[in-house]
Amino acid sequence: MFRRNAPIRPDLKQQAEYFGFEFSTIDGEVYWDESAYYQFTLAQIENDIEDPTNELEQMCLQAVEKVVNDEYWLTQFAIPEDFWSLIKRSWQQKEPSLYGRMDFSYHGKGPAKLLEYNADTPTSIYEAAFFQWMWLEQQVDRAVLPRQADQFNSIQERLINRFIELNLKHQLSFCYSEGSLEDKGTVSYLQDCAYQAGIATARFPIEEIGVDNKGQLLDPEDTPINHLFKLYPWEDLFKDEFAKHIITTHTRFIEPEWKAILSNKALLPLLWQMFPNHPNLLPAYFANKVGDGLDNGYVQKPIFGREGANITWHHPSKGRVHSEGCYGEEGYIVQALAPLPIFDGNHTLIGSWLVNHQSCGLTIREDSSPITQDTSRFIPHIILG
Amino acid sequence: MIMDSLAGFVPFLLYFALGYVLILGFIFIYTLVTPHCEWTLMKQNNRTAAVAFAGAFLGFTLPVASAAINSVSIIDFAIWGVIACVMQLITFFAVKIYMPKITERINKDEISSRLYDLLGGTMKRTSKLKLTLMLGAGFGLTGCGESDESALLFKDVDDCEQWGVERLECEVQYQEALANHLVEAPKYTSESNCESDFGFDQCERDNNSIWRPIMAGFMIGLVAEAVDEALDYAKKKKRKKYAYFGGSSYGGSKPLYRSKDDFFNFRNSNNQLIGSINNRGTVMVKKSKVKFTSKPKSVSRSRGGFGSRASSRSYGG
Repeated sequence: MFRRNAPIRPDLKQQAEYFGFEFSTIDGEVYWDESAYYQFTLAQIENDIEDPTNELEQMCLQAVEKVVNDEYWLTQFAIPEDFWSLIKRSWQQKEPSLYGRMDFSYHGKGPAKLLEYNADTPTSIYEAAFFQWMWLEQQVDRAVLPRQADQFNSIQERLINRFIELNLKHQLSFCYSEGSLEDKGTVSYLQDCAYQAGIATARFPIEEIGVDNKGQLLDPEDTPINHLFKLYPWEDLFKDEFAKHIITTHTRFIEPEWKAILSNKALLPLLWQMFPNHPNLLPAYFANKVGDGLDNGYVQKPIFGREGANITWHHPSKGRVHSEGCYGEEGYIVQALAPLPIFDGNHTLIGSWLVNHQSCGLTIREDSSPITQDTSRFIPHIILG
Repeated sequence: MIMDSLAGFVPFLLYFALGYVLILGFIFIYTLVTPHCEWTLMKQNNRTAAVAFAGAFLGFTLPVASAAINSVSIIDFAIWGVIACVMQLITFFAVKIYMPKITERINKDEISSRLYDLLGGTMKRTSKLKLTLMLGAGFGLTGCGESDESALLFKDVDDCEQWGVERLECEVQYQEALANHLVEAPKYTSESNCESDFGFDQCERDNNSIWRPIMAGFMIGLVAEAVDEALDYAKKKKRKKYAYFGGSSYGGSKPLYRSKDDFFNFRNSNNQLIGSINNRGTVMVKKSKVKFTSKPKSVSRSRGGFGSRASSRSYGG
């Protein structure tokens, strides 16, 4: 695993415009950063990322099975009681999942350590699946990269195949939360994939959803919504004013309700309890009941948290790093510290994509801080050797 | 002369037969030794298996052909044939060390379109991708996929007649729009909800306790040529436009509404902007705004109950 510098494509700006990448810079800062790339060997990708991701996914599905059938765990996961039966039903009926992203601490040697699982509302899929792919194709064509350079990336192909498999008979509506260009771009990209799979689609902000007097969710044209992809977390849907309508509605959701369990940080202590000392797991506990394995530092994370907010990083010698945010009222978990590797002064986080429970691609984010936040830059990768 | 040429016939047959045996032997051993089952996979249309096998096959036949040309005797040829077979098998296992999952990947039919390496040239990335809806302005489907349609907008039957259509035909079109209005108009549970969208006194009640906006006008969809012809007739005061409201040029008659916030424009029942209420004659509108199936709306009680925790932060994780 190396970090190498590379020339930026001279027409990057036009490329981003043409391919609808509106958030290639965020607030004037570079977000998509192709001035460097990471290089992996095929063995690193297949043995250290792909296989562990697939194995962890199976472990996670066992964890869901455990949680939905156990009120103790549902309480520990801070899921409101009103929605327990809904989650259980969605799991028992095998409501299909589309995608997810596991975040790892990995430095090229030894087992990758699972930091968390973004199973409900992962972003950066457009960059990883499409723009990164396009970058490699063009850099190979321009002879910046050798012809045998490859990439761990069958994400888009699998997304389209998954949409075909879902075999939806009705329109699939894609919802995002107004105000974030990144979320809108992510949703537009997934809509594009669904369109390529031959599904009728619509896209609108989640704020525009209406409810009729029978408790059915309506799109902006007042037509009942059959299938809804929502880039909006379940834990927030459970608290919104319309939460009670989620129970009555016929709308089917992607990601389904049971994903509320996997996107929850309480998953980490549960996995550690179910699979102690698994090479890809870090010791993790609920903050009020810690155990062994935290002597070399630990990270405290809110049960519901996004984009690196409200995280406290305790290092035995380097002290404490804290990130601000508005999460944490439901409690915290602690997880043994697996410091992100540093390449040229950057902390590097590996995101491993799953589509239809299959590992199929990579997102690499870099940050100057040891806590990766939503301002971290996206760096492309290649496989060579 | 002819006999001289035929003298080579027997050796040719010998070499040909031995070459054939060598190749069959190689195929037999190769398919036996590789962990994947070539025949089954190829019958399943597995391209990767077929390409890898064809590569190995070529990799064997080329040295065999070369041995046939250069060997001094048939024994010599046989020996070199066996050596070529062994070399090809070694190559397979050498590649397997480099790409341990080659068998798995051949089984899964992961193939590179580039075929940069005939034997097991598989890639971890997809060979072809495209975008459709997301492409920049002017390239996407929104810009070029949908044709414009012309439509006639009228406030009422009088308006229609004054423009030059026979009154009877105007009545027919108005009645059709009204029938669609009863089906597709937005619905509200209270008059005040309805008025908050359509303005004071702009709503009516149906038989139930449901409110809907009044129909503020109607729109007759036609293809442009038909409208032009109709206009010509109108100018010449030949009252024959009746004929042009039928056949394939006719796109139906739809209700129009005027919203409180945008009172001087007509909108269709899907709240799509059609054109100014002061239009006379034809306007060009997207086909989907004129030709759509009337379907009943649910009663919209409220909106905005989701997303309250948004506050413009990203939800991605």
